[in-house]
Amino acid sequence: MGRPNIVEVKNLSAAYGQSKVLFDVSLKIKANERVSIVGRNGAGKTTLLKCMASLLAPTNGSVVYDRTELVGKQSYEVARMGLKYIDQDKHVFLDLTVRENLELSSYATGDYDWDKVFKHFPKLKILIDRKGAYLSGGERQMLMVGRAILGDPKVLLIDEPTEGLAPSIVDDLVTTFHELSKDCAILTVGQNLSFVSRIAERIYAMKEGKLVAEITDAAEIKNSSYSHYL
Amino acid sequence: MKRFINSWTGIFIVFILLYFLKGFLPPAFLTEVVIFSIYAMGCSFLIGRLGLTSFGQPAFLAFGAYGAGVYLYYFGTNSYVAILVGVLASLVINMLVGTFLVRLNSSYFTLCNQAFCVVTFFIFQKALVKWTFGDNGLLLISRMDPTPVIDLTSPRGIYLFSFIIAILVWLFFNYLMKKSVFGATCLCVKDNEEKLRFLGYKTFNIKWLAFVIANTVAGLAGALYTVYFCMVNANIANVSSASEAVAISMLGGAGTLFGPLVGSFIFIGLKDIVSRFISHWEVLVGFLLIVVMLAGEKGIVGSLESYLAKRKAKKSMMQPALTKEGGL
Repeated sequence: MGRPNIVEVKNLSAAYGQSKVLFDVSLKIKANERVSIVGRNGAGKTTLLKCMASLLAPTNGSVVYDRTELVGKQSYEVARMGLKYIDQDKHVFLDLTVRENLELSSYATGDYDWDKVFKHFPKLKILIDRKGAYLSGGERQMLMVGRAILGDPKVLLIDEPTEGLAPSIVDDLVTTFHELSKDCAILTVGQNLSFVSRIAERIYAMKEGKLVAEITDAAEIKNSSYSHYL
Repeated sequence: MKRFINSWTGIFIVFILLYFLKGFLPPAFLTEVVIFSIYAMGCSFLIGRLGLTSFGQPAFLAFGAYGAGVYLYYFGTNSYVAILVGVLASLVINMLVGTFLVRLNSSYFTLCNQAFCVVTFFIFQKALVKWTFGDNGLLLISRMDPTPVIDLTSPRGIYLFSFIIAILVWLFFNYLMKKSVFGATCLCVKDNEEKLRFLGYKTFNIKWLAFVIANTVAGLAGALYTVYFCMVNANIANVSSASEAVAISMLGGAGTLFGPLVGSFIFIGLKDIVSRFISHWEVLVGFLLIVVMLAGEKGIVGSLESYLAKRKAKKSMMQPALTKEGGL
């Protein structure tokens, strides 16, 4: 028996004012699955993620998470339900220390078990009293993921996780994402095909606001031979 | 040094210094500075912690002032009760008004607060003139009985009482800004409201509560003003004085604990001293504000705190390197 679907997006369309950016997008994510959406700039990847996290209201379609319809809900409600969104801009709260950033997440979720954060990102323990403003891009990414996993979310939506990061940090992220997927499903979007090939179990290729292919073959994923779809 | 500035002991030392300054400075001046600093504290919190600039502060000051004034004129003679009534009146109004105003951001929030101030001025000056006596105001000098423990009808009593209230307000804001999760969430609203929602926070509630707290503190200052001056008139809500609280907050350092006090000291000092020589004393405040803003946009206390924080961060960033050299 296969894993159940944790997220199901059906015929999702979205627009910024008059300009339509998503056209009838449908996808499924299974529990504890690692899925990636790849596509060029402007393909609509980030818009799709924002619609799923209720940061943007779709013009049509539905997003069902854990048997609950998310369209029409506020983004804070979606986060409380266990679907967390991590933005691409590596923005942590600059005036707050690492400790305060984690406390903020703990207070919202009621989960004060920071050991699981430090298990994945031991460096955060060393940087615990450093302000967000003084963290590097990689450290900020760790903190953002660390904050998001408090409260035991069932799905992490991560936008461009490797953007601007050094190759050694990207290697660490691959390992971390593999470990994290034991507890939750991960959907990443990005253009770094080598990273995607190393983490994804399934890939959706996106072009001009539409999902043009679904790649499930492990060999095809490993060789990045799906790039012709983009 | 930073620990000293941040800690509650620092607040008591400042209080003691201020109290003993009465030997060198007129008590009336110091009382006004302290009440003004309470007034500016709310505004400073809104600007510095939430990034919401309000040009409607005189309205919130007026609700507290009229709450106390109306009680003393029509219902009772106890100044303690009057202050309590002023604070409660302000609290109720802020809870209602906040529900609408905090939905707005940046310039819209600023302008709608100012518009609310204009409406409030009209209400107290014209619409309720039968009860408020408009520009003539409510004269309360013969309507206040001496109060037990601290006699608020005596200059010395109101001076001491204002200091005690100021300390309580400072301690409260010290907890709010430095120790509470709520204070941290306020900073995050200023930094990036959307990101805070990703973590599961309903940011409307945070902004609403901050608005109510900040403006109820302004109402408290208004109630103290009424008891201190033994009168209240519609000019307290005049929109022409709306920039005073903002200027004081920015001069001292918006969002800092001692910024409103430092700003009030300079503002009232310039008003009292310079106005003896030049009629347009505000020119000097304006000039000083420009200089302070150009020097770092954080105000006097804000710049000092920022300098100390940078020094601390520099030290902490050097620590791993030192550890490696130490062979650990």
